[in-house]
This record gives sequence, C-alpha cells and structure tokens, in this order.
Amino acid sequence: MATTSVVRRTPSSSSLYDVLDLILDKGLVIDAYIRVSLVGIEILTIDLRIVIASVDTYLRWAEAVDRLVLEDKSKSLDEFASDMTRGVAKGKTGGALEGAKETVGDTVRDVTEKVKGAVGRGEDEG
Amino acid sequence: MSGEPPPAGSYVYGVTVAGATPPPVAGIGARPEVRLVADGTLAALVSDAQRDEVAAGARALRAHARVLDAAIEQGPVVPLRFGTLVGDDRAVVDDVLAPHRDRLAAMLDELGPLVELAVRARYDEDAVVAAVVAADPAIARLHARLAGVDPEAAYYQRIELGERIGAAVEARRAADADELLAALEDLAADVSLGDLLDPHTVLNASFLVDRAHLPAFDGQVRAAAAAHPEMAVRYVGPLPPYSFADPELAG
Repeated sequence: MATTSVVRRTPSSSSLYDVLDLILDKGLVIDAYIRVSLVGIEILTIDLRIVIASVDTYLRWAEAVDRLVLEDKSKSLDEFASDMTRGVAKGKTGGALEGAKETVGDTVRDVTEKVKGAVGRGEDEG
Repeated sequence: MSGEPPPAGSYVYGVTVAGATPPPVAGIGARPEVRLVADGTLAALVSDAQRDEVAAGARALRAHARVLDAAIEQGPVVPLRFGTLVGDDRAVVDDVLAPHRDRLAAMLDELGPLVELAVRARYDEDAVVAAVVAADPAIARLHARLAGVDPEAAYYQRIELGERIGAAVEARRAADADELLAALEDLAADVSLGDLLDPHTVLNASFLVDRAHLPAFDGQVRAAAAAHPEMAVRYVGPLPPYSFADPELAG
C-alpha cells in the first residue's frame, strides 16, 4: 500500500498563494477609506477566475482520460495516488495534453503560475 | 478622508484589544516596526508606510499576513482588508476605531480564543478521472472504444465521453465535499464556504475553531486527507478570522 504524505498545517505567510483570496477579498473594510490596491495581483486573480469560468470542460475531461492507459483500469486508487505524487513532483505540464492547439487548461495553468510567480517573489525575505 | 489613499501614513493591519503586545515581526516597507494605537479598550495594529510600498505587490501582502499571523498567536484580532492606509495615528483613532467602537469590541469579545483554519481540497485530475472510469463501466466502454481513434474523427464521441466524465466527477465532488465537511465541522464554531475556483476543487472552506481544539482538528484534517489520496489537501492556519469578520462596517 502506498504511503500517503501527511498533511501539515502551515502559516499563511509561508503559503500565501493558498490563502490569497482570503487576504485580498476578506477581512473588515472600513467604509471611509478607499484601499490601496495591489498593483498586478488583483488583476491576475480576476483573470484567473474569468479564464476558469470559460474552460471548455468537456474536451478537457476527454483529454484527461486520454492520459489513462487502458491496462491501468485495474490499478488501485493508492497506486494512482502515488502516480499522482510523482506527476506533481515532475511539475506535470503540457506534454500530456499532446497536440494541436493550446488548451484553455494550459492558459489557466499559465495564469496560475503568473500569480504564483508574483506572490512567490521575496519568498525568503524576513 | 475619502477619495485617494494618502501618499504616506499609518497602515492598519487589524484591531485587537488594548494592552496587547505588538507582534514582534516586520510589517510593510522601510519602517516595518508595528505599534499599537489604542483607543479605550481597542488597539489598532499599525506601522508607518508609503502608498507605493503598500501597492508594490507580494512583499506587502506577505507582510500584512505575517503581522496578522503573529498577532492572532497572542490573542483575538479582527483583520482589516489588505490596503487600509490612513493619514496618521489620529485618523486611526478618529476614523477607524472610534466610529466602530462597539461593533469592534463585540467582535473581539465573541472571537475570544477562536482562530480561522483554511482547508482546500483539490482533485488530482488524473487520479479522479481514473477513479471515475474505474467506477462506471459505461464510461470505461466508451473510453475503450475511442482508444486509438483519431480525435478529429471521434470529435463528438469525445465530447460525449468528456460530458459523462464531467458529470461523474461533479457527482463525486458534491458527495466528497459533503463528506469532508461532515468530518470537519463538528469542532468548528462556524464554517465559511468559499468559491470553488475550478472544476477540480472539492472544498474551499474556512473553519472557526477554538485554539484548544487545534490538535484534534489537525487530526481530523489528516484523517480526511488520508481517506482521499485522489485529492491534494492544503491546510493553513491559525489565521485571524478573515472569513468571519463582517465585510463592511457602515459608518
């Protein structure tokens, strides 16, 4: 049986991307003030939502199923989970979505990476 | 006091109780020392900042989160939305604390030892598709029939296959979300459900949990994640109650 990695609780300042929506969209608003908006990031998160909302979902699922090797049908979920961990470790990008046109999924990933990149900068600063 | 944020002034992270200790971490910009600006029983967490430093991006966002994370370690904090910059400490008292004194005091009182914990569970696409195909013989047959067929030639069947998989994932997602919530909500004083940002997100939830229950809640999250190897679970906290602060205080 494959071992499952243990989920750890992390502080927000070290996993900022995970709680970006909380920090940007939640919290108390003092009505008298126009807040300083963050250059770039708010725009990117809005883009991300729009792009995701327009994902051509059906073809995306069909592409996902192409990645399944037929013989693998009998694999247990645990085995898939360990495959998944390896996939994530490799960064699992484009190659699997072989072929012709760039999918919307790729665009989502690109935007996600951009947001991550923007937020990730300065990761090691005090 | 309305219109544009001032070019420089007092940046307000959140509101805590008077007599609290300023969190020992760096705030935004070149003058990062965080101080308390008190008014009666309330105190705002404040540091000097320039508008450009606040707008500069991830560094400011991270500092905002860092100050509030440190503050919630010490006691109740009502977090303000990112970007609240006022002219000076006097404006902190006159415009932020004083007009909302009763509401803020009541919120801090209700908050007590409660903290926010964010749990985000997301399917791994390959793993969930594999599970769906394995669980539904009709989908598996259609998949088998299309294997090796030119995708252009099988365009409409591929849409049908995708539609069936999408529906199966959606059904699974609703059931899994219910199950995760049921496994986690009993220790929570309140739950806030966020938007599911994409078709793979199963749960985007924040839980308001008493600090004393943290170890038990950690255990529940670990158990839920272990029961779902087809999901990646992200677990963040303790946070100040971003999702549970009233969104707006009317003046």
